[in-house]
Amino acid sequence: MSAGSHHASHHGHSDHDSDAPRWLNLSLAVILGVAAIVAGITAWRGTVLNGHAVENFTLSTQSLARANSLAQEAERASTSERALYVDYEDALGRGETQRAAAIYSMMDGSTRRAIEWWREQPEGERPLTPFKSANPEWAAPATIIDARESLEGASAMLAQANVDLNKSHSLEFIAALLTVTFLLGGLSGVFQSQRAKTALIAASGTALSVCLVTMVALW
Amino acid sequence: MIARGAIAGLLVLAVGLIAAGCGSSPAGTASVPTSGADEAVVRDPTSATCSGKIAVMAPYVTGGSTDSVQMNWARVALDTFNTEHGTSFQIEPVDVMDDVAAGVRGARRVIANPEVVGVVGPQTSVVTAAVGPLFDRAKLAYVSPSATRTDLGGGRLAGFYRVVANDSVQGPTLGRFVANGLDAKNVTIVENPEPYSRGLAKSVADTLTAKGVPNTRVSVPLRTGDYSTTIARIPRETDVVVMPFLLSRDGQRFARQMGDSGRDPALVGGDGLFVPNEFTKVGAYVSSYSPDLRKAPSGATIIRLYEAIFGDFSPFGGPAFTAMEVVATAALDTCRKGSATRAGVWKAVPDVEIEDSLLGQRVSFDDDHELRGGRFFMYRVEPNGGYQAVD
Repeated sequence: MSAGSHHASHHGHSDHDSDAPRWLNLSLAVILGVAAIVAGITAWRGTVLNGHAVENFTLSTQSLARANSLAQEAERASTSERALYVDYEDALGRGETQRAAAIYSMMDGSTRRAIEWWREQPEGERPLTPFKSANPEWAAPATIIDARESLEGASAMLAQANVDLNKSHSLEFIAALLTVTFLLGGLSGVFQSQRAKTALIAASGTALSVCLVTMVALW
Repeated sequence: MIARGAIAGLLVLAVGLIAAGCGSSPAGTASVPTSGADEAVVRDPTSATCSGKIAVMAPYVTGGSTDSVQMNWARVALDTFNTEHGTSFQIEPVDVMDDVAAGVRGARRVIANPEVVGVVGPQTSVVTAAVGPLFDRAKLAYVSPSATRTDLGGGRLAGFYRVVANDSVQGPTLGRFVANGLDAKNVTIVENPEPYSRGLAKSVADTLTAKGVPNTRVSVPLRTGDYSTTIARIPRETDVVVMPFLLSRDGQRFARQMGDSGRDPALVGGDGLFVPNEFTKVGAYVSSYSPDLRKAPSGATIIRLYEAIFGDFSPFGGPAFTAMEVVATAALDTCRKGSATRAGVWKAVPDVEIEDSLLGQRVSFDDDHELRGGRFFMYRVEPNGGYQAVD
């Protein structure tokens, strides 16, 4: 065998070398190792976010129920205080002091305080009824605002739950995409060509990088 | 050697990622209450017991049953503030509109009450000018939602602030709207012989003249019943009549009689005519220091809240809401040992800043105690009686 043919043979052999360089194997090991870790963490993070979403959905439902309850309570209290007040004034107007006292005793504390404040005002500065914004003892606005705040809290939690759920789904998708990394990395072992191996490992590394970046972005 | 380094790198990466995951997990849930919906509203623990009274000088009886809008909005603002911050500030109402004597009486009552730490109001410029020196002597800061007279500012009243633009902004706003928005060719300005109307008329005339729009000024007494003589004096070529009247009823009468005369120039009023229940000339334009809340980013929420409390809705209460926010914020910022103080509010009001106010702009005050970036807004009277923003 001449030196020239030996060179050609050696050159040809290097194109189809089954003994890939050490760095290539090492790269494959690192990529697959990182991919395994990222897959695990992605799955874990997805589960955590899913848990948060469920928690927020639950809290949102509770908060919504509370908001509805507060709103109903506020409406009921408002209607009740007005009805009792009208009866009370009617009884006073008729001179039925016992009936007036009985009605007064049925009012809640804030309604009584609102009426007391109203009665203390000078004639010309007294609003038409005790249930006006100028009456600092009138409690209805604060009750309604509490209900609204609760409702807004519920909405915020619901929105957060949706965000977490979407992120969780995206992370699950990334976990699925990571199988491409494994597939490409695994396929590199069945090819003799170093070029093919390199290409597959590079593709595997690229897929891993994309998944890694997306995972960080979705964290 | 390389393999060992790679394995070590992998381990470091794994530990790092796990640590990052563990570290971010609590942060992601920090705002989520853990013990049920009762904790949905996060309160500032440092403000849990802060109390004090904030006086509101606005009509709730004298103005009639429909004129308690500013009081309503101030109340909504205070109760909302209390809910959001866990404070327990209370409203101290003073029923005053434009009665100076009543204003002075109310101011003295407020000053004598040591629980009052700040004031929202007065509503009108004339009362502000009268009670301002009293409040200044008592070191009681007062933030008006509607007193627009220019000479109230400039630091002449030490404790006076306002969350609306002053009248020096209104005249040019009207003038520009007439010249550019209505493309006026010939303008007549019908004014009242009193300071508000005269000042506004002059400012509009100056703006129009600067823009090359011919204009004429005509004076007519307050509370005129028959405007036929005045209408006859308005040149035929006039296509826009500006009427900076003090009283909305005068504006309504004038507009009706103008229509009855068979003439139909565009009618433009100042904020004196901005009274939806009284000035109802369809197609006329009026200016206001108040923006339409329906246009503010947070408007929809607060509108629903207002309607839930009061049943009806007035979209022009933003300044009263914001004035209360300013005073309450100053009171909270300087709260000590559970109570706000007058001295604290006096010192804090100039530095109050509200980023996303109901006015649709950032609220802060300049050295003259004026609202930075304050402006007037133009509205058109609609067939349903409502006022529709046109700019």
